[in-house]
Amino acid sequence: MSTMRKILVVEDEPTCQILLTQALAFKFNIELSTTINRAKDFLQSERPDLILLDFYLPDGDAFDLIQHVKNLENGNSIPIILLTQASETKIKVRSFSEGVYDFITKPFDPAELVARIQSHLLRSDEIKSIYGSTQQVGDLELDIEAKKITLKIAGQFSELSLSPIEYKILQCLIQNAGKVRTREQIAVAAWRRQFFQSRTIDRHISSIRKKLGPRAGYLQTVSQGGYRLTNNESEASV
Amino acid sequence: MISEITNNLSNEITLFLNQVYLNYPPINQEKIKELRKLDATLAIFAKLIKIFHTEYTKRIPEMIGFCVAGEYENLGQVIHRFKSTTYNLGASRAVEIAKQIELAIHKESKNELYLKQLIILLEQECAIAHEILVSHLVD
Repeated sequence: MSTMRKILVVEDEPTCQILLTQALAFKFNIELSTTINRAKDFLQSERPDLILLDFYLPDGDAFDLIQHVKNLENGNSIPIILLTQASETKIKVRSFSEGVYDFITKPFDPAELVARIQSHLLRSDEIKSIYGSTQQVGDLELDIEAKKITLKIAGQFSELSLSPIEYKILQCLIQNAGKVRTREQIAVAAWRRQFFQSRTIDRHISSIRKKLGPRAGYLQTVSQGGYRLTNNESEASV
Repeated sequence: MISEITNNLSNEITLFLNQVYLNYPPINQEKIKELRKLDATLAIFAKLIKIFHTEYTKRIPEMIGFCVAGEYENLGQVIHRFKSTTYNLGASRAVEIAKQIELAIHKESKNELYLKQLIILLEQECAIAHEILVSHLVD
């Protein structure tokens, strides 16, 4: 028998709580939280497979919790679905840049709710199976579960001391090793938005290169293109 | 106080109410069918009706309080949340009044009397919806 997937439902409105529980309890293991702070407490010790989140909560709005989740170890891999009302277009637009995967509009259809949750869980499983927990490029190793990147020097792996943005940029480049990533793609990976200043990205790249030390050559600038990470240092860096 | 407020409804409210009464039933019968299907014993349906009653008797005085104090942001949060409650119980007219309250809050110049009248009308519609919901429980 397969284990039920764990869903963290953050919702304070009592009739919604009942209807959500009724719709999901037969298929998923539900953890219900009525405030952002209780959800944060739960996340200290547990990692749900997905979070279903109402926007307005008594102790703040959903963006507060979304930011908290993204900063957790492995938090980026937890799909978040936001429960909104039809009129909340501005919230929906901002939510995509904050990393929300999808929306369910209230009043929700239980069958649609279950279908959307299952679809996101499936996608999340596929991503994990493609990347696995670790990925190696030459002497660099990305460990998604542990959220760290290590560098092998003289046969020893040591963790790179990266800022959260540097980690996201290097993760994006490792996961796309050998391919050119444009500055727009890097901005989306790092900040989840396409609006950026080229100099800001270039500054982060320069800092990452310094931290790569003898392997700085892995991170190549591609003229009018962007950046590429490769352990084949003979590839032309134009 | 209630009669003072609702006996002198503005033209704007009268027009709005006419539209609501013309286009929406007090309770959406399709929603009732859905809620009755939740479980064979109707225990969940009964629980939802009880919560609806508790919520509207608690939230309406809260809304009036925020309105009188000019705390429109708090009023907006309460009405937004309460709109979900009315949706979930299929209280169609109450939903429309709740939406109208939200619109009035977001207007630059707030009309306290207009808002109060809408809140009182919301309470009346919730009471009617509650009666109808209870009658479906004993059918």
